[in-house]
Amino acid sequence: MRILPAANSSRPSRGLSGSKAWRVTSKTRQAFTAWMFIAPAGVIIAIFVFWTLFESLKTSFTDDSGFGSANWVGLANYVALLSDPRFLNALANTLVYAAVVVPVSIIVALGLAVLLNRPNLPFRGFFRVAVFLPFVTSLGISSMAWWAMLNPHAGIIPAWFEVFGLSLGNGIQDPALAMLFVMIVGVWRDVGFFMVMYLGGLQSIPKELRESAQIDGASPWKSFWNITWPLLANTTMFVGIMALVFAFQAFDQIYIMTGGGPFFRTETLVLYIFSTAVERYQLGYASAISWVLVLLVFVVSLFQVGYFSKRTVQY
Amino acid sequence: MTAQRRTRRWRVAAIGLAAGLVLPLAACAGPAQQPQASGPTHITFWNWYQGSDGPTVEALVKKFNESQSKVVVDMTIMPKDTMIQKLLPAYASGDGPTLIAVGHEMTTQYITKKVVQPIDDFYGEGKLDKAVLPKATIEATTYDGKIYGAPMSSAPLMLYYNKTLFAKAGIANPPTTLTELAEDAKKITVYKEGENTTNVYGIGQGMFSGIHSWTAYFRNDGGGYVSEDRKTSILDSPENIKILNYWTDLFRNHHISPIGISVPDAQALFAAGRAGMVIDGPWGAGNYAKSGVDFGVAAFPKGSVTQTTMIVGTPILVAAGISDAQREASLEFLKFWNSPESQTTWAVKSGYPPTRSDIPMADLSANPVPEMFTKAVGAESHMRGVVNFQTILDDVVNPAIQKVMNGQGTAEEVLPEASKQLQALLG
Amino acid sequence: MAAIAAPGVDYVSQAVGKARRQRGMTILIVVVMFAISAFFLLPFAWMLTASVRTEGSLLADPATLWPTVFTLDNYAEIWRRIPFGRQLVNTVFFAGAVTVISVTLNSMAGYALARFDFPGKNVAFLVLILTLMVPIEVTFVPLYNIISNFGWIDTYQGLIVPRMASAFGIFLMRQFFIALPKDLEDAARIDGASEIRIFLRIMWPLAKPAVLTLGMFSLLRNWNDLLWPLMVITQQDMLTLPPGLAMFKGDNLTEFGLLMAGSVVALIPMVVAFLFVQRSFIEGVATTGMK
Repeated sequence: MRILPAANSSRPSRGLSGSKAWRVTSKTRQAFTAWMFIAPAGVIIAIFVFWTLFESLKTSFTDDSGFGSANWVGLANYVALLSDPRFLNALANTLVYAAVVVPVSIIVALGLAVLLNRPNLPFRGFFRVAVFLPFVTSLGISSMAWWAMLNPHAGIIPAWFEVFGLSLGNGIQDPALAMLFVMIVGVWRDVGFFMVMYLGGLQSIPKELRESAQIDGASPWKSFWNITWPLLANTTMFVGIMALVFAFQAFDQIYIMTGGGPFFRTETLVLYIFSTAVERYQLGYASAISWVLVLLVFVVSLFQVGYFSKRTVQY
Repeated sequence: MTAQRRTRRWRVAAIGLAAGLVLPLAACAGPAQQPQASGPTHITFWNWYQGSDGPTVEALVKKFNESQSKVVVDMTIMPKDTMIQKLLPAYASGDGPTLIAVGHEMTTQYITKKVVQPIDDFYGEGKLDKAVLPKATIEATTYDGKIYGAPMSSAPLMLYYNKTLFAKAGIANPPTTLTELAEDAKKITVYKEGENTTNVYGIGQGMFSGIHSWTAYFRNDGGGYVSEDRKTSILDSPENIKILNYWTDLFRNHHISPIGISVPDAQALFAAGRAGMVIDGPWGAGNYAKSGVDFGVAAFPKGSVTQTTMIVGTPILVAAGISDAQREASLEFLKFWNSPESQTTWAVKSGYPPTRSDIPMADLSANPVPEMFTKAVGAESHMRGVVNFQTILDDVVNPAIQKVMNGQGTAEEVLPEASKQLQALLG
Repeated sequence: MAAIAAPGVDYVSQAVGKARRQRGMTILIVVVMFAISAFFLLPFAWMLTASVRTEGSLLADPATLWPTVFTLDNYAEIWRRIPFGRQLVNTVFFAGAVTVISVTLNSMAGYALARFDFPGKNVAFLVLILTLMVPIEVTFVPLYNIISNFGWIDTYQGLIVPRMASAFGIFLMRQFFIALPKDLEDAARIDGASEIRIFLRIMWPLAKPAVLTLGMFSLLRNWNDLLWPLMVITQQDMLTLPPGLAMFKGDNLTEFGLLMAGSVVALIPMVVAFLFVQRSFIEGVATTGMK
């Protein structure tokens, strides 16, 4: 970012020519100011996030088991992961979960935002609150409510279905259906937050753009796809990354509703990490799994950022 | 650079630095730490007695602290997962608690990690009386010939049965053998495909997420998970295969139990009056009474070979590396906890049977449940001495049983593979 | 571009027809949204009804939503069983302090990352994104050790300080600031304003929608945080509500009525906060353009 020289400032004489000296100073001034602004947050993050991350990275190269000596084992943990069927299962589950929940969340959030953005919509405030409410409460508690309601033998939802002669079968205990239900709860939880992001994004699109498209005879779908959607690129990138991070870190509702079962069918990477670290005390191995997860999310996020930064809009 | 600019730059720097440094210091401090008085010995005690038993434990600890001036117990109750995560780092940094109450399944882990110490000398004349304390719990904390724990709570799993459903099916008495259990369950089951929320099941058998109650099914008919010396897996023995196939047939084809439900689900089913039987501990009695189930409690049925049942317990372990004063203080508290008076209070309030066998039943008349749970036969900690106790159940045995029950393989196919995994965990 | 009236075309009834279709569409949307809202609100309906039923009736009739027995006992009992009032105050203090401080620090850092050019900028941003993704289970032990070594167990500073900045917050603010017009500060810099002044007078007011979003997110996250207070605090009096309420979840049994009653009460301040904030947030975004 270029900073224009002030009209009547004096320049330091450092033996350099006039304008070059100024540019050097301004770059230094930029860097200095920037780091000063970053410092308070930076110090906190450096100590409590970077340091702990670094420690956990170190641990992933050891056989730390919580107490006693932790011996260096190099890449042994990572190599073991490759042939660990439970890890591969958790990885597959995590990818499947994210591959479904992320696009669905984006589409549903955007859809709801478009619906709620309609001018003169009655009860708009009520709808907004209703959709956002899941985000407001602790997922641990709402998962318990879902667990109770979805109980295949004593839950409200299966009971209602049965009134209509339909059956949810074994519901969340059915190996084929369990994942579906935890996905639904995952989407239910986060979609309100994304919808609010999109509402903001939608309202910042100048109405004239859409109106002129309509006058030109464009159908609502065309005008959405060619005008609205590209202009929402920034928001979509942000929502996309957050949805991805949330999806890869899915834990609470799965832990409470299915415990990772039936027989690991819904076990995601974080659940496996939890089981390895907390139940088995294999901290070294758990750290290795975590770092694989971190890298995975990071790589996918980079793709997202790359995809969207070509399309971001600058006014 | 002008003097003005220089000052501004420094102002920015100062504010940045100040924010980073002052804010942490400006935050107010919490309550000051209690200085170690030269008076009573302070010992810390961590456990995970959340739920309705928490207040009872708190009241007893308070009574102990108030009844004498030599020892003060500072107790912290926290969720199980949190305590497990904090325990080892706390011990590693020297801040670990003096006493911990952990489930049976965790004790061997802590013993082999050497964070707790043997307390054989806590038992004897004038101290803890082995003769009246539950053998199974003491055995569960014995390792390499040394005793590491003292009982805090201990209860066998027993068979709850719904008297109303039994009467409806024309059954006069609860089953005494496993065969009878199967027959009774079949009679009680009222099953219609696709009507899961109205079906009535003979038994609600939980398969995960709680107390593991499958062991006795296997043991009583000659099977089991590990050999006597805890060194070999016997999970794929011919007896086990036969037993698992037997029950799978009953579950899948005769629908005597829903398949793949968790332990809380099973409890909920019984509480709602839709299961004829459930295997549970004393903690369930309160809920079943509240929901209006007319229940009885019977010993877990005999098999063709023997009669055992699983015991669930929380012993107290004592940390290694504590001072002599703290060690003595610990003994005082353990004596108090296991005294007739405390155990009477504990049993009446919690429904657990007292840890002492010498308390007259008349003293427990205020709560009928403890007496029911003193009538178990063959209570044992089936996986005592195995370090990876809980992991084996959660990661190997439960999934294997579930797979077979769900039709994802026969016992002949699934158990050998599971047995290999179990063997690997036996190390 | 004016439409040219063509002969033989009945513009009036066309317009009326269009208006009627619009209204029809609106009504359809309202109906659909009510159904969707019902889905979103269902667990809360369950929580609410569970909190006013006795444990016994919940157990005996789990498949009914409408309370068979009505009682307010649970709401009274939560105050007796745990130091509910004290924990509520702790939660307000913790979540409030962290929100206010972290929004400030995160804004400063996000602003710097977005508007300044300096060496290490891109690396810093990438590393930031990396830290977004780490689950707490794996940093639990090193984090616990640091807190313990600082002597911050069971202290308010132990609870608050590590949360005073967050990668997510910096990320969000950076995204916002980067979308602002490029040369916004230049005029002020030409005039010789200090960086602090530029930030406070120009950037900060523009950042209102982002600040509200981040504030809301931060408030919610810290208000509902279960694991973090459990890591730092052991004394019941100093806990916040989520771990406090966890006391109703025993190893073998959960006391649903009490747990749900406590959760409903804990929920209300957050709902109020959202209602307060939502309108100004969304409208703020529209006018200043967090695009």
